[in-house]
Amino acid sequence: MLNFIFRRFLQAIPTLLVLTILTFALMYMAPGSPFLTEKGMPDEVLANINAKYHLDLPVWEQYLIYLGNLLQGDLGPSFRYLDFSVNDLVWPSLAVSATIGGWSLLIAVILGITMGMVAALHHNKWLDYTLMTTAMAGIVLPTFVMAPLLVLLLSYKVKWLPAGGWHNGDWQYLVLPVFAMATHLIAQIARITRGSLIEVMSSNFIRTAQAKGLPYRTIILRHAFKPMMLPVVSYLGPLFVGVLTGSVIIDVFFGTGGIGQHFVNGAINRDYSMVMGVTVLVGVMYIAFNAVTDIIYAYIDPKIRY
Amino acid sequence: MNKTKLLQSMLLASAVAATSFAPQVLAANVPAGTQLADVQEFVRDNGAEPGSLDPQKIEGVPGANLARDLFEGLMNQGRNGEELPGVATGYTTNDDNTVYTFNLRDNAKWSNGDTVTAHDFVFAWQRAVDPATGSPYSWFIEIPGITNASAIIAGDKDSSELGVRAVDDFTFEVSLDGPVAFFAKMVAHTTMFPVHQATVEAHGDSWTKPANIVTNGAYSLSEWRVNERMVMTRNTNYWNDAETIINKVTHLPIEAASASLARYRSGELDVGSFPTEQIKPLRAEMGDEIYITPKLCTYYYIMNVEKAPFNDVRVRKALSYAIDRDIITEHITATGQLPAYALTPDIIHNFSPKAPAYASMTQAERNEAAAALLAEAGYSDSNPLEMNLLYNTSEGHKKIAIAISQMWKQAMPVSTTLENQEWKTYLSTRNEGNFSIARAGWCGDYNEASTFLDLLGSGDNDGNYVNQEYIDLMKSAKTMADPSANYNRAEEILAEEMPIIPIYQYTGVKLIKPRVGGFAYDNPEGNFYTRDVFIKAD
Repeated sequence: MLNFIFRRFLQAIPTLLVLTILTFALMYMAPGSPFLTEKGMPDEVLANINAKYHLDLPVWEQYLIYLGNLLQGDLGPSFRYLDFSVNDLVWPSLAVSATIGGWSLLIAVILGITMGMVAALHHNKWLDYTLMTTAMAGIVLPTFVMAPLLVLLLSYKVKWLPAGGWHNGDWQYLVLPVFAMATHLIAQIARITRGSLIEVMSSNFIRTAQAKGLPYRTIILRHAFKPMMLPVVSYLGPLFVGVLTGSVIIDVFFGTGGIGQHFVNGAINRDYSMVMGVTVLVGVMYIAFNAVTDIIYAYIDPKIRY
Repeated sequence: MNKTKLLQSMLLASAVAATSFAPQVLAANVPAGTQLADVQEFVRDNGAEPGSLDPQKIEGVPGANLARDLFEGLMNQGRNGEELPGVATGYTTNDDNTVYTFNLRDNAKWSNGDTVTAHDFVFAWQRAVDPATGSPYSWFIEIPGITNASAIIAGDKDSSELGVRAVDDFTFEVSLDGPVAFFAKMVAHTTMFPVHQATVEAHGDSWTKPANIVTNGAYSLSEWRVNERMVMTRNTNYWNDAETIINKVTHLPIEAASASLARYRSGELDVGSFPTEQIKPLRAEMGDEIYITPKLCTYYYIMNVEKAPFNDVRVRKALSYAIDRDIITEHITATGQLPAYALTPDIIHNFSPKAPAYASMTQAERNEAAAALLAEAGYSDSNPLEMNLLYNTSEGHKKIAIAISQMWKQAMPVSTTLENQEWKTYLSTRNEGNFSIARAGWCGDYNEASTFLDLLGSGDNDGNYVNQEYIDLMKSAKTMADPSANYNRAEEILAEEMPIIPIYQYTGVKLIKPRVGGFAYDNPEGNFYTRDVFIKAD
């Protein structure tokens, strides 16, 4: 296993290198530049700004400077928020998004798997239909509809919860963004779980267990649960990173200050170092979580060995 | 701008006598009998996160709104755009209005207790023009022609040679290349706010962080969470703190108008905004909380006059005439905008733009003239005018572009292809002149017509429009006590040559809770100071 982790780590290096080169190149190919304004700036002033941020150097040299700083953990200065470095901005906003994402995922996994299992075990009965219709509603209602709907009901009509803000993660401020994000995930997980469990329940080893007269509970929890989780885990792996690194819709609508907004604003404003920063961060997280997914796979699927 | 010539404007020297100025100050003005709330906290939507809080690096409206609470310049701006004393109690000028001497109050303090002196202004203004600072608004110091500003910005002189001087701790002197009638108004701009030298030098780019920042305005920065909120509390060292009422102000950088409306409705905002397409239902729901006021901004289309077919004035005029501006303001933007036929909006201070002749024609007459002009330029049904109309991606701009392209099509043989680009791509396309006709908009940096008319006052504009008479008019206007005649002639030239097509004059929309008093929602530039605001008891 240690050998596997070490190999994964070594593979990550060229992957990240390619990722940074591609992102850097794509960013510079996009028209416009960070300090292009409607009114325009005097040439000398612009030249100084460009020199300050090394934008006057050839692209390859800029890349090497960036890589050098990156190796020391410095993500560079933000070109959009001039008073901040990318490090100043990314870590607090990642903490916000990871909190919202973490809670959403936890709720989604517990509720989704439970709903999915209940539906599968009542296959083609009214409980199955009710749960799956609810899940379908969760899937078709995107976050940008769910968020204002929740605010309308819970903040405006009954005034139980605030309509936005973060306030250092006080629970009142967490509830709406977490649920706005979780509904979709609950629905997805429920559907995947249901499908998977129905399939597992019709496999030979379950029939053997039933024939041996094992208690129903044991069959489900001991024999069916692990194989049922395989597609769920492969769905959760990449989803995990996506959820932890936030959603621009949640950030913009609830004004949480999460990292999702930095992805979009970074690109719109040609905040090169911000775009690079969040790309590297997400890249590292994807690689790490894919490795974790593989390890979990090895644990739940006896056919897989590393 | 050629400021040395302006210096020699002897005409004005004799016309304008030395002036001095010292009217009332800015502070919360609570009407008699108003019961104030026990908790004086004010929460407002600031529209977006600022690019910086450093006065010399601020570029947009969100940053400027915040800086007016944190810092105070020599002069402040009143509700209608008039000048009011700030750190300076008043000023005097020499006989030919080329030297302004500001008298600073001796009780103005920084939030750390240091006295605000003329040296702080010298440092800040030199910093603004020093190319090393990278101030996006350095040109703002250049506009009034402060001595040597242009040469410093161009890198030819050292910033210490800027025409500003601390005569003593409380006397700040500014030398201009020529008299500029509106100079005292300009010093209320954020670029000319003072900064605390020791703090800036000690902390570099991080000096504006709550832990480091030292301010001289009515508020100090206590919390700044990017994209979430910024909290300011009373600066007890502020010289007029006794007359400030709000104890804590929270500025929320809410980008989405729908989110602003949601939070306003939930009672979390005292001042918010809303998606303008919802104006009708909102009027019924909360009509008395909706405030629509004219703003110092013009929406227009710019044409690349170097490129065919827009190198032909007949084509440019035809396109302008055939736009029914009333339909756009009444049915598309529909929040009180005024049709624009001139570049300068009507609410500009001290100048009433004379409407050009085509403004008084009926739309039918204009359409007829447009069709005739286009036919004369050689276009017909078999040879229609084909072009791309560029706008930056937005639903609002799209609706207007669709309507206008239909108006053109109905009035004459024109086929328009709409092209939208996201903001920076659009800026780059415009900047490089790779467009034929493009959407544009401009908001005044100060309340004087030159902030609009100067856009075309040099050869350096995206449409490549150059007219020597226009350039000369704008140059000489700088030194005139009343430049209205020059401005009117400039507008006349624009109507004759139509390098741009004015479409409408902007309005600002706001939601304001009835408990809020003193908020300057109607300032034409949208400028306000939280120290004027108070919260009434329910």
